Amino acid sequence: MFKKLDPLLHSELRLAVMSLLVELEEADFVYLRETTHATAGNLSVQLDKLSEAGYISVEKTFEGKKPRTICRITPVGLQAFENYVDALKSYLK
Amino acid sequence: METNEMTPEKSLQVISDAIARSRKDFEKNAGAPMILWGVVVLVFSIVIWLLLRATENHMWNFLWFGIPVVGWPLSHFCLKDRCVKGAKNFINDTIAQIWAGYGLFATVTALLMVFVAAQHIGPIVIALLGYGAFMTGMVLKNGYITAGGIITGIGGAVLLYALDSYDSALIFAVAALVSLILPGIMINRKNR
Repeated sequence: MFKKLDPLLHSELRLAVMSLLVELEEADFVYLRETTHATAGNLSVQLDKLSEAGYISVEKTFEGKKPRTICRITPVGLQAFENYVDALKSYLK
Repeated sequence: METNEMTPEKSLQVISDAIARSRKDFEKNAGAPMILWGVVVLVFSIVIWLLLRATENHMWNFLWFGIPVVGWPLSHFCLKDRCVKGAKNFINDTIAQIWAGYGLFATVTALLMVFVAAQHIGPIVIALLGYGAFMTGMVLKNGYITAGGIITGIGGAVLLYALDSYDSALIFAVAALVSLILPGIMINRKNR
């Protein structure tokens, strides 16, 4: 029996972002954009979706005069990621 | 990059690629701080040992305080381009905190002992160095660094009984080589 894959995570960019945030304590927008090779617009949209679902927290701050957006995975997001990986395993057995 | 038509294999690939890329970023120069601080300690130890041997004046022990004075600005300027910008990783943060703690305890210990038991500063700071290396090895799950830390830590404690304060400066140089420089080089070579 295949488990249902979370549609919010079953997207290449969102999954890449979540995988990075599982590994890291926090990452800013620039790091995520450079590491995923996404466009700023697309990344921004996907971060909003993850944030609205409560999977990540987004903190807007300043570094000197430059604005900085810092993302962190939430416990809800971590649980969703674990469930997603569990579901993936059922497909790969 | 947006698609909902990923196969499970593709999903796994995305996850492992993202994690591997991030690890590579952090591991690339992970040994650099250990090498830099190791070299600073090595140079200071040898210079202090030479001065102590040549003059037999304990006041040269005050030069130990030059390690943080030289090391902090040097690490700020030399390592700032080697840090991963825009992201924090638990392991790197933990290791940085271990060595910041070492710097703090070593400095405070030296300050408290300098007028009453200056001859024991070297061995105690070496033992603390061993503890820092041991913790680093445990966090990185690296047997060589852990073993180097244990040897250095025990060596520091034994030095309290075995050597005069002059030669403990020389042993400190060896400890820096074993606990900081060689592991740093090893980490960098492994991640190249």
